[in-house]
Amino acid sequence: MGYTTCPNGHLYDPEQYASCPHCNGGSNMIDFTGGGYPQGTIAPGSFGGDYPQGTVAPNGFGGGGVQNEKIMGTHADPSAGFNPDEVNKTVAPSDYSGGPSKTIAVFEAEQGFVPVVGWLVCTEGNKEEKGKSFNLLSKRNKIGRDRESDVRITGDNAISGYNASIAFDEEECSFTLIPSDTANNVRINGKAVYVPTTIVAYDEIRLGVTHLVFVPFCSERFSWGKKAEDKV
Amino acid sequence: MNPYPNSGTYPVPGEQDMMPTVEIRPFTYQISNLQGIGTCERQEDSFGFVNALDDEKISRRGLLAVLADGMGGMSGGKLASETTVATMRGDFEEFDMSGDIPRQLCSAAAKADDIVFGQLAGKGGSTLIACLFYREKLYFVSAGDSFLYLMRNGSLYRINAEHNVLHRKFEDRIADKDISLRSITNERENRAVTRYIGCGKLRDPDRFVRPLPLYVGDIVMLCSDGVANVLPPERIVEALESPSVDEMCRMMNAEISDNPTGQYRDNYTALLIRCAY
Repeated sequence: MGYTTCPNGHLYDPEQYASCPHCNGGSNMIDFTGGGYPQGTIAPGSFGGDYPQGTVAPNGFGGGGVQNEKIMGTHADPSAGFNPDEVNKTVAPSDYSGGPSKTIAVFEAEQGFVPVVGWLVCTEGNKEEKGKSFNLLSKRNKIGRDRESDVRITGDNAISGYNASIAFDEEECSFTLIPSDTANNVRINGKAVYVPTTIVAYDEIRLGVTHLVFVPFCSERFSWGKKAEDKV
Repeated sequence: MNPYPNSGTYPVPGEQDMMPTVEIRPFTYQISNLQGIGTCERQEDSFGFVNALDDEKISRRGLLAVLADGMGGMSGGKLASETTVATMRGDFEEFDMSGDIPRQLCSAAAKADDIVFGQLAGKGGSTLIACLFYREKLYFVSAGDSFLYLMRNGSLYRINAEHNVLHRKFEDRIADKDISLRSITNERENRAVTRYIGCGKLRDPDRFVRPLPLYVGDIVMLCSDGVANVLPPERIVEALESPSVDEMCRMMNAEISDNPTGQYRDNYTALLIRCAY
């Protein structure tokens, strides 16, 4: 009497199940309390009662050792990933079709696409970035070192993960730079800014040691919204 | 000559006419598995062992345990996880055990990634944890947000990295010397996995470059987030202190299944391997 494995590598007790319960959709829990069941899983050759007693922590397990010291790995807070009240499914990346719906910009919602409305051109800074242009889209564009940034500046450690954003307002055809709540200042034409500030063509934005010149595409001469209306 | 025979007797330095011998007892592995569907419509977790019940094969080629959690909400989640497990198990049979085992595990994971991507064109995927117990050492490869735990001397250790947006943000913020973690812990996007089987570009799964030596009494648990995100670490430790691996599974299943009516519970799977003589 003992466990067996099915062709898919699942362990089960053939005396409890005529066929592998896990191959039937995994909806069954093997009943380890069934009659005639030996103590413990039957190991190859030596499973059973000869194994040593399970280890017991002194005084049982308090919260201290487990919470503060013993949980290693990437959890900054051991309980950060644990919330029984949350829907805890593994979630696919958000660009999966059919995946979780994501917030989209108003322009995209109305017109079905997110166009370029301007650019930032790097005129000073890390040699890999100097000379490059970054598209600004018809939404709030995050600027920083984070991978998720819309305008990602690498090689300048004086820039925060999320240092600032530039928002485009289609109705007013205006661009606003919004500094984030970070220790690193943002300067427009050499002057530090701490509140949302309107920017105009050829304003120089400085983040860390990186200089970016703002060049708008949408202006009095061109508007995506007007373009879309023409087609209606 | 086998430099690491798994059994036998060896002469111990001593009087020539009195040669005491020491019998070296090889490890055995006490194994159990637990799986449940929760409140989901279908089971999208998959798992499998290789050589679980073959003492001779375990000593010669090791014991492989594989767990995969198909992407919830995606079409093909079950296909992705089954393919992942089948590929790892199949490739393991061809491993050169005298060669670079971590590299072979990573290659198998990359192959599974290519196959699943080819099947589902990026519209499905799976996490992966694969553990190889060979010559009393632990090798592993992982991608995604499933969990690999080691319980040793009464303490629980999470071994593998968690590949999701939340932990990527942790890394970016730490590099930025910004440790205001609370501002990023409650966003919906945080649970999205960043490395997984089926992305088509899996290049850097988590793994041991050098294997971890195992000791008698060590318990290794592979589990999906349906276990680890429901049972807090203290409850897992309590379950793993049970006298048998079957009792450990029974305790965990009872806790996970203790589900208030209507509350969502994900698929859950756990593989338990305890080192013993």
